[in-house]
Amino acid sequence: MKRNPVERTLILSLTGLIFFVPAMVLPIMTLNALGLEQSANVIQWVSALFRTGFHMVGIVVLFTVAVIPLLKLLLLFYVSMAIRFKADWHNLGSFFRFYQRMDEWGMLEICMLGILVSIIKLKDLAQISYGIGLFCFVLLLTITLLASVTLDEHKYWSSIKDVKSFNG
Amino acid sequence: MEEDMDKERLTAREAGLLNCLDCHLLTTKGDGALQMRCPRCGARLHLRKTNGMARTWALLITSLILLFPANLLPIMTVTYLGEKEPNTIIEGIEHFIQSGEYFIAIIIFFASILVPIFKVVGIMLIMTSIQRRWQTWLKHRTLMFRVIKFIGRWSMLDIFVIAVMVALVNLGTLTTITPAPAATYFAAVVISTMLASNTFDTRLIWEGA
Repeated sequence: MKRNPVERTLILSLTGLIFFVPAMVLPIMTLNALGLEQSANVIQWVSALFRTGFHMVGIVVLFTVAVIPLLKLLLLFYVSMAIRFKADWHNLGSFFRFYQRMDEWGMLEICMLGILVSIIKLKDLAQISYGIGLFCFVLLLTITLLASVTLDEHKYWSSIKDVKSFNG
Repeated sequence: MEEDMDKERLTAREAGLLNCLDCHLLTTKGDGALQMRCPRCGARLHLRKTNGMARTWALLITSLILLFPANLLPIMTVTYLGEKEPNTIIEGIEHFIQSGEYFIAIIIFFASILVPIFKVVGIMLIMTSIQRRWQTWLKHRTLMFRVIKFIGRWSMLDIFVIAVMVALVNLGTLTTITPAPAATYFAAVVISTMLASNTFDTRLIWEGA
């Protein structure tokens, strides 16, 4: 049994939230060929898909890489805070259930593999330089994975029930 | 040996128990209450997921139909000095093999071709085995379903590769990469197979066994 599992998850979800915005808006990498340069962040991936008319693919990427990972961290932070401070906040059960159901739709780790594959694809065609966004993205991914590894879902469910009965 | 074990087994349903699929609390089944809610987490409880088999079949057939355009149509178009070259998933893998990147070729082959097909065929096999009331390989079928559910989402890999490449390779007249129709079909395949494994109720495997 790990020590302080709730605190760990709480701190990890908070740290993840701090790195979320930089991971989305800072450039992931820059492509350089014959003096022409193009850099892109996560939001620009989505807008590039919209610009080329692939709205559905754009929405899928937006949700799996941005919206759902953010929601997961927010929900985990909210529920962990409530359990840690024994506060009977609204909708704890529904929020945690929503977190569990969304879990598999957050695809940061798959996206990371996608980034690696495209680096290998592009490395012969042009010069690639890595942006600070990539660093933040890797941190966000690692923290999200650690948070779901430390998360003790069984304990959370029984704690949610305790919190409810403790506060009447 | 396995038959003897089967006879001794009691399902939760026969014991009058209900398992909450969200928080895994085991509750006793009330009389005739069709729309029960879990006393701990408030989720709707079902003995079996509503219309599980019909919904899973519908989603599997959808995936199977979408697999054809996803694999046969080009997934992205590379334009180099005004010359357009559409690429299907398989052609993308061939490029990697030609340039000696065997490891990446294998990863893409698994994620984009093998896993979607294995997933659709695998769940169809499990569904057929339930409808035909096959009594064997129960544990193996459950394990197979878990593996399918775990690896299924990794098929999204190609979509992220396209997103990164389309945004980066946008160098005016020199070279651009744009998505091609199969990208949409492929994303739809991954989503519908993931939904198919969510609507499927693993408890059905053990029913009538």
